[in-house]
Amino acid sequence: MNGSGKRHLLKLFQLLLILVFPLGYLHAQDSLRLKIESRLFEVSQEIPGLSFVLQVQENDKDLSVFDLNRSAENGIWVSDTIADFKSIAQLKDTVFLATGHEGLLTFLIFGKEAEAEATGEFLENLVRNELLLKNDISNANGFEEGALLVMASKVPFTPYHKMKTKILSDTKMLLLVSTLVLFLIASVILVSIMYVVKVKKGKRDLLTQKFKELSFEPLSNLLFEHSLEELKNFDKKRFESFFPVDHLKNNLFKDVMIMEIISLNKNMKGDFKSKLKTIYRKLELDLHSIKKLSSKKWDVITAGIVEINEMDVVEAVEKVKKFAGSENFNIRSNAVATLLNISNDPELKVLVNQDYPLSKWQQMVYFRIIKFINNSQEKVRVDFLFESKNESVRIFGYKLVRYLGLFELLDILLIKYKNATIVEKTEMIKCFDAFSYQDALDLLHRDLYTSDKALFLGIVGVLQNIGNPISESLLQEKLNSGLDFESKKAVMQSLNALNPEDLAKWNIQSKDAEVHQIYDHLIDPVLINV
Amino acid sequence: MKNILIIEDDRLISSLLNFRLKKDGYHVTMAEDGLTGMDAIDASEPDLIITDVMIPFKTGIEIINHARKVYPKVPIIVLSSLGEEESTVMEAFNLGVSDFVPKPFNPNELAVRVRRLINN
Repeated sequence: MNGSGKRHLLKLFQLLLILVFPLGYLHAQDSLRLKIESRLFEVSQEIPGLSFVLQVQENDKDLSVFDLNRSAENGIWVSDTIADFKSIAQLKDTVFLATGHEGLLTFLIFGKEAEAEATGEFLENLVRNELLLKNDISNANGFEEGALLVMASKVPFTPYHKMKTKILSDTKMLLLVSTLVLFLIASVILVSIMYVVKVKKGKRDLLTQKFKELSFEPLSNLLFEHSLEELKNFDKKRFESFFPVDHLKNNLFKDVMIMEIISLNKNMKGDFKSKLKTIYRKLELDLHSIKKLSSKKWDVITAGIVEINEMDVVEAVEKVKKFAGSENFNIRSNAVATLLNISNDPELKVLVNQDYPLSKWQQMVYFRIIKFINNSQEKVRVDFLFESKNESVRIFGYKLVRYLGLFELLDILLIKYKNATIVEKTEMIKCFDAFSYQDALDLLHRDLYTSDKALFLGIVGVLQNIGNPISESLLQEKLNSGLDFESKKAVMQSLNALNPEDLAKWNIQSKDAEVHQIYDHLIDPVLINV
Repeated sequence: MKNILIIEDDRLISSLLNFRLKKDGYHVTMAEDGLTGMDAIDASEPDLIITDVMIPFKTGIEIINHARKVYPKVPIIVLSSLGEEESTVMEAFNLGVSDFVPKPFNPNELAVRVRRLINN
């Protein structure tokens, strides 16, 4: 084939392509249109945004009977825009039967003419977004599901179950929400209270500091510029002239003044103490202290009692008495200490009548007061404590015998010993030991057979110091009776102190390995104190 | 005018002593803790020092030690509670304090001791 032939063949191929492609395109368009139309038939409802127009080319017949209008421009009959596809399809069929013209169905998307392809995509979008179902399936209620979805899309979203209803009907949720709300409210209240308390405390501290500064000068003036006699002769107004008048009515200022006077009273001696007490009374601060006893706050009551004690406000004794049996430890302790100090009660009735057990701390505080009274004022009747119904008071009494050196009460202890409890006996034998009270030996010998180990060890310890030959033989007897290691060691220690030679002989005779070990330990000068 | 330094953490006591000693014509400097007390020793050139044994930040012994290094001959009076350790009091005496006043004390007596020590 030459070049000209080739060119002819190429042109022929191009012509073929030009003819075939539009045909294919038209065929594809027609099949797409049919596909869309058949799909639209499946949907019984109107599709939002999609409408149709029918155009018919007819020159001979009048189609106005079919509600078609003739276009003035090109003489084509055009229907109104119809949203329902079935109606337009019905119209098309009717026109076709009447005229033989098939007519052209035009798709309009939101009023604008659209190609079949665009219409297809529009429908696909609706299906994808579930606004239109692929299959026209009716639901049980007779509604078509696609149409229902389309309708639903038009209605604004409102949840079927309102949150409020759901929470109110759910008990657990209600409890949880209530707890959280309560917690939130409680925390807000707590933080608010903390803030208020902190602010108040800050203000109070500042004011206290200011009042302290204000009290230095008047107190110094009164203490150093005036004699005790002068102070006693001053009336209240004269005293008040030293202080800012407004402040003397302020309770906090009174508290600061009392605090400062008590502090000075502790650090000063001589007539300064008397001067301070005179100032305290002339300024009627004693009334302020007594008034505190009527408070409902335990710390205020305690402060009042302490002030009464420190400043010897004896006229308040009766009011303090009612706090001696208080269930509050601080109030009770301070009330008893105050009554011991200022009530002139050598019989220690306030202690005898105590219902609550005495703690070691209380005993220490009361001991200091009783020791002071016993040395400086009059002899206290510690023996009255032995008659108390409270065991801890009785024991405190036995301790006082030892601490105050009241050996004259040992005879009474001896009588009391017979009916005493184990704890009391343990305390009593310490007194017998401290005063080497040999009259107690008979009782101690009898109690060597006690089943209480603490008492037994205590008696053995006392016998080590005050024992006699009877004690020695009794201890040897006990040693043969099969004691535990600790008791055995205590007995051998006592025997070693009472009669070392006899113990040495007894050790040689003994076949008990433990006895030998203890003995070696006792006679070893290095180990003896271990 | 003789200068007296008071190192005492109880503001009320130091203020009262200040009042009492000023009445006797002394110039008084006050320090409330060990650190300010040390600074005051260096700065105020005292003729007599009154110090408490128990004060914040430094012990009375440290104060006395420092004072003795700076002013070997300045009299020192130690104020102390009776309950305080005997060893501390003994140590203070060993460091050369001039006098020891146990609390509670009489401010007038203290003033007499001050006058005697300053005049000597």
